[in-house]
Amino acid sequence: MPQICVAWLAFFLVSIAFYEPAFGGDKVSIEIIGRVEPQCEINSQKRIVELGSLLTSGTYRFNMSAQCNAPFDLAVTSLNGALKRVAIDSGKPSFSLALPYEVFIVIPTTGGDVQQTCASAAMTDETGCRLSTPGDAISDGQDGAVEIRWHGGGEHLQAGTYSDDLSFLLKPRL
Amino acid sequence: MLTARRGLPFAVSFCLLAHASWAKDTVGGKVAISGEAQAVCAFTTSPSASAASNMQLSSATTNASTVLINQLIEPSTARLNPAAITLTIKATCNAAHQVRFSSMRGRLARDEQSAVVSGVFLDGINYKASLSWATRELSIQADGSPNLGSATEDSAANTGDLIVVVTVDGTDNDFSLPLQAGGYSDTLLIGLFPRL
Repeated sequence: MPQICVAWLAFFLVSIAFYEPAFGGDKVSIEIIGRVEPQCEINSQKRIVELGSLLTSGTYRFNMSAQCNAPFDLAVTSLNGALKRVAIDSGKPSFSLALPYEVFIVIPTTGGDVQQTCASAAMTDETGCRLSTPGDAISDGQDGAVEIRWHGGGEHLQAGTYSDDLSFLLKPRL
Repeated sequence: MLTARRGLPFAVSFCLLAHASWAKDTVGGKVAISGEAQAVCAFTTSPSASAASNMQLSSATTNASTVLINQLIEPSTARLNPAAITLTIKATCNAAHQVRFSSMRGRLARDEQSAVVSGVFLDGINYKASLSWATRELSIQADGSPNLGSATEDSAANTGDLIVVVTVDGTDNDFSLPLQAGGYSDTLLIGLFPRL
């Protein structure tokens, strides 16, 4: 798009140059502005993460990088607000059908590492877990990380598969 | 100049459109996370005696416990005394499971070989044992039969009290006969197993 814009401006200048001698002494001021569009990418080493046993406490870490030529905000949201049992089962009151967890995110930026820890229960609304680059800092795509942390549910967690979806949304801040 | 005037508004509006699109740029991705809660059954407390008559819980852990009969016989007649105990164990199974209840020796069997010159003596003690777990009831009539035991399936997770009642009384034993001196013992096995 900027090339087309410049082409039109060039055509305009050429047009002015062509007419100027006929009017003599007239002046036209042209301001030329160039903008670089933000180019951002977020790359995760994983699309599917299998945590293993939820009966005992654990952590799972995977690489994630953000490359953005502008300062940005990153929001991470959770679909269920917890690891939720997949099978439809009313269960018994004495058993848990969901296991809360924490998400720790760290992203290297030109202004230093930015990091945030959020509880899954606080990540269900659109604000999610928010992480912002400081000031004009940008990120050049160095590996950061996401760590999922959970406290074991013990035998009070009803047997089965538990899952959640994490959504990452990176928005350039201009 | 006419050409220039027509060209300028077009060029400016184009640049504004391009600028507006920058603010909307977002990128995102999704990561699906999942984990597994394995099927587990566990005794969460050691047994406690909630009622007892002529019996006592002498040791108790979540793996093994011992119950003693205080006065097995009437000292003056060597006849068997009745005894009973109710044990409560907290347990949990987070999935469908099987409950097993069995006696290793089939009754309170004499630990030594029988040694009688003449006459009739009791050389073993029959007893009843019952187990309650959720809506399930299992019982053993320990009368010396081999391979005494029972099992039942529970199709759902359960947590709560597992209750075992052991009773020695005259309905299972001839209280008119003397009991041979010696030690008598049996082991009750209680198992909760996640269904595979």
